[in-house]
Amino acid sequence: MFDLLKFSKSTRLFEGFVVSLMFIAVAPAYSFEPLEKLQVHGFASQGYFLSSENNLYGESSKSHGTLGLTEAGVNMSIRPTNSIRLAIQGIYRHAGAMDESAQIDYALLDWSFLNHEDLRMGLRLGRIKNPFGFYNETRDVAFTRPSITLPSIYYERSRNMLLSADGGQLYVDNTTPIGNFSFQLNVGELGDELEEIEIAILSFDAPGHLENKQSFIGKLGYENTSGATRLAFSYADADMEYKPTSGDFLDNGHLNFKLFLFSAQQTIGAITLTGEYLRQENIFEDFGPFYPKATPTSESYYIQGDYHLNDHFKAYTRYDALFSNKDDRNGKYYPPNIPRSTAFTKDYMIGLQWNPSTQWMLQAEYHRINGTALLSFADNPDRLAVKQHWSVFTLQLSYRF
Amino acid sequence: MERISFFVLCFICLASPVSQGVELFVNSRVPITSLSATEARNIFTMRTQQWPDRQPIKVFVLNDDHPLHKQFSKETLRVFPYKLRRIWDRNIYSGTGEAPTTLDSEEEMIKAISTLAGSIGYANKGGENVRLIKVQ
Repeated sequence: MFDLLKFSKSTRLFEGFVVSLMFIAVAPAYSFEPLEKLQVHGFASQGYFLSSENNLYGESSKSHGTLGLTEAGVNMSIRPTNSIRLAIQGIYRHAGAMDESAQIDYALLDWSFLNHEDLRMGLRLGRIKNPFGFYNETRDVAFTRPSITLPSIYYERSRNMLLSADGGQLYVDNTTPIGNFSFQLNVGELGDELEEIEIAILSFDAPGHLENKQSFIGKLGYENTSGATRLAFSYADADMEYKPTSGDFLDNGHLNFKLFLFSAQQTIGAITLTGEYLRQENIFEDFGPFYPKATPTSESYYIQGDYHLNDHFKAYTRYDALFSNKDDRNGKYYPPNIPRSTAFTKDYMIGLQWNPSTQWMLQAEYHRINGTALLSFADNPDRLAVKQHWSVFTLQLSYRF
Repeated sequence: MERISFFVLCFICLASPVSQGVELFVNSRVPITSLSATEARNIFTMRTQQWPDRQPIKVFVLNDDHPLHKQFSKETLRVFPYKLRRIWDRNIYSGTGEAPTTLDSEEEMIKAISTLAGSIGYANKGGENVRLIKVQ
């Protein structure tokens, strides 16, 4: 069943295009009343990064900084019948030297086969965003992020692994007297641009390439009746395979990632506290004699405080930490050709957000960072040149409709 | 000193106009007369999508900055307007749901509720073909 729906790697864009055409064909037929027509929304944001050392989204350490993070998207949603909804979103994204592409972000058919006041269940088929933590499903939309860029749990390296699944999602939403419980489970094939993961794991750009296999991502959520308390547990189990080239010194290796993510948020008046903790168990095996089996466990977490000064201003602060191997937090056992600072990142941040209207948002942040684990290899090709202590000033302007 | 403050307080009370309450309205064909605050919140966060008779709910709101929207959001739903916006953004940008239709004025709001089956919204006062809903 999933094979039918699966957008094969090279044709992901093409299939998305076909789905868009279907939309255009279906949309006019179902616009009965003027106010019942399809919903169209979009966003665009531009980031600016200036760092004391190391590169973030382009050459941020050059004297003028970089405008290397641009994100824009448009989406449509239409409900041709009471229980069927079609939705699609296309995004353009430029992220330093890592990414410059236009993609179908999601394209899905949503069939809510049970729609009671207290209990709703349904299936979504197509390309579906992965429910993982508080922010993964809308990770490219500035208005839904708690800061200019997401904390390290969501970092760029695992972006393509976690972004979306081509397959299906089962969802359940249950309203009870004590609050709302929700559950989503995605089964399907994950994204396929895995160079950053490959370098991070093999510590060099190997001749072959990584391929995703079928994966599971699920999330169980709770929200109390006022929405002030939110809790979630997310789990992902992703498998990858290393496809060697002919004469490769590496064998047909297997990788497995198990991610356990705990999320909590509490709002008290104008203050919101948010924390998330990720434990990621990795298994890398069958690569042959040059790459012995390794089973490191990574860990990352953050705590963020938001203070809404009024309807237009928000001040926020966050401590964010990431350890590539929780049994070697300082990189003591790293090989000599890899800087120890790539084992961790500890990021202290303060920021201010201004919403002059619903359409516009301007943010400014200052980060003091110890460690380089979250740096991308594409933006920092010389691994030995990275500096352990650095700081970043960043701005972002966002528009939505 | 206390006396003066008392008079000042009285003066403020008398001088300020009685703030008009914001009321919840539905199209007159919607088969309900009251909602709990939680039910209203579930409708405005787009979670509940059908009325008890299974006709789809159409939600209308005013702009986030409209005083009536702020009042409705804080007093009736007991949610900050920015929280509502966050929920709607999560819906539309993840592909899992929709956002209410935003209108520019109270007149448009009453007109939409009175003409469209299954619609819900809020205003200071009603009109023809709309029903006032008590929020308990």
